[in-house]
Amino acid sequence: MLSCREVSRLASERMDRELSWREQIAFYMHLMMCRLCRRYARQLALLQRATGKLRQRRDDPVDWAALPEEARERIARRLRENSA
Amino acid sequence: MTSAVTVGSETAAHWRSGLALRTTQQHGRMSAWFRLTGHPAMETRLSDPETWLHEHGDSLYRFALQRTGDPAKSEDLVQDTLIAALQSRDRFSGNAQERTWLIGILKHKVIDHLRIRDREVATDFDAEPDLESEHFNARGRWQGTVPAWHDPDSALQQDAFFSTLEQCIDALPQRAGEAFRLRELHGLDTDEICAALEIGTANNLFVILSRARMSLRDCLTEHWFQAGAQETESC
Repeated sequence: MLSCREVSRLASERMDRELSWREQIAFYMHLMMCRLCRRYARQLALLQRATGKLRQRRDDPVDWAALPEEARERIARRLRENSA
Repeated sequence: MTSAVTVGSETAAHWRSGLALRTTQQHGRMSAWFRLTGHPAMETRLSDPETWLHEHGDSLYRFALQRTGDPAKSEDLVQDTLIAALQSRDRFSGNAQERTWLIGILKHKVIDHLRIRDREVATDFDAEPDLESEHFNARGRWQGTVPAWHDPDSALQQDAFFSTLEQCIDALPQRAGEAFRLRELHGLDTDEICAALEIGTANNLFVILSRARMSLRDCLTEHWFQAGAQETESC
């Protein structure tokens, strides 16, 4: 039986690596019985959703960004110098 | 124009003879033949560096910008990448796509940049408070309760919520903040983050990220969700 402390760790780690099936079973068994861990896991999932949205908001301008013309010319010059 | 057509038909002729060899099951001889003639279709040729800039400049720039958030630095990284590519063009493996190869070089440059930036503001990780000990008792059970979040879905519709979230991320201990940003805002995978932040093992990174998420949860509870705590609980 996992402790709440271990479950809180797994609730985070499952966002960074694939849990083994053993870990998954232990994790969900614990969640079934523990209201506080269930709440915590749900909040971390929401945090991830929120961060994903934050990322989208920030990336929107990035998706349209282009290498500025003067940078492009400068880099082209440097490339010519270096290949000469 | 004419020469291009000639090259094209020569290529076709090469392929036909290549196929003829294959049908006679002489694989060994066929590959020897390809080695001798240096068949153009067997490897992708690199175009010249100014074409890289023209065709991949924007993609490389966006890649760098997304990870560093710094336009001027991103321009420098694109330049460094193309110069490094020029110098190591002999090592280009014909099997790779040109853009994939360039992005691979850029990725290393970005990691180096993040690593240097991180070192400049390095703090002592051990001095950061151990959140888990605050939240759990000696038997590993929650100390007190886990406060509920009121109406989280409507939070995701509000600009003010995202400012609070950004402030909470900024308030993270330095290393945890870096790791969390690279992971969730810049989309790096865990290997890349370990390399950039010089974290010895993946497990150390998992611990850092777990603490980061826990303190973000605490921060959002305190600065956003507590305001509605008296109303009905939903999450």
